[in-house]
Amino acid sequence: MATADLTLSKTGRRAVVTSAQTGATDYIERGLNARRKSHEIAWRQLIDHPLIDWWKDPEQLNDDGMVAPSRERIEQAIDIAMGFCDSGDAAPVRVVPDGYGGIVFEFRAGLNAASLRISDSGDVEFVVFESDALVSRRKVL
Amino acid sequence: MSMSGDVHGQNEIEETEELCRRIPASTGWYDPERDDTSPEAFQPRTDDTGGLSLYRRKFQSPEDLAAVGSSKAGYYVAIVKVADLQRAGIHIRQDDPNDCSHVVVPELRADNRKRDEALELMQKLAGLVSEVVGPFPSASSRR
Repeated sequence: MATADLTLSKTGRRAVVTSAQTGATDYIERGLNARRKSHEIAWRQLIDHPLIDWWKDPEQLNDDGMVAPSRERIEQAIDIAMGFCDSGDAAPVRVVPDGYGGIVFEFRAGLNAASLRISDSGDVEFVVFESDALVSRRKVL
Repeated sequence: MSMSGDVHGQNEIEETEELCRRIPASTGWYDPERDDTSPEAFQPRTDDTGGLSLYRRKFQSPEDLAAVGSSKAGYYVAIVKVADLQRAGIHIRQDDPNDCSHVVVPELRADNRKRDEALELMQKLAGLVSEVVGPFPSASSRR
């Protein structure tokens, strides 16, 4: 009897664990989906504004002696943004012109920061900072 | 860090001073909603050959600094404290002995703006912004 109780108990425990695991997996999955969705929304907002706004009128960035990015560079930035968006990656805090015909995506996580820099010639670099110290810089295109 | 004034030392840059950097409002380098400044605001411009330009607030107000610029959309002005630059080990010096209002960060110039050290300095300077004021109109934006 005691053995049977133990068996039932084990089965019960297993069922509870299995159920909890399924619930946890569903919960994590829902959380990940929600996070992915919020990243996607943030990327799409950045694509609409400022990137598509710039594409419609690149001249607006020809200001105060700065060189506006060309439409080709803006299209490249939009392609990169769409790639990140489709991958569900976290969105940058902002996208800005560099003043020399290039475009910079700026990411931040706590004290660390990173930037994806598209130069006026189309070269792409990824630069990582830890507490303002540059720790990594690599050409990705 | 040395803080050079004019040749006679009469306008020695004091630790308690504040310095101003103009940020064209058209660039998005300052986000007023998040009160956040992009490191790009401290990227040397083509005319920053002797160093990144900053202006001493005690000689030139942010409004006056914006007014002499040519941006169509006007300017925000980022304020950086000399004491914070000192603590971060960022050197500044007066650019022209006859113009005590203008100082430069000599390690950050148009010719070295792509180097690792320059990117790191830009990142540091953005983190040292104590306040951003404006936007203020420029001569062009008033027309």
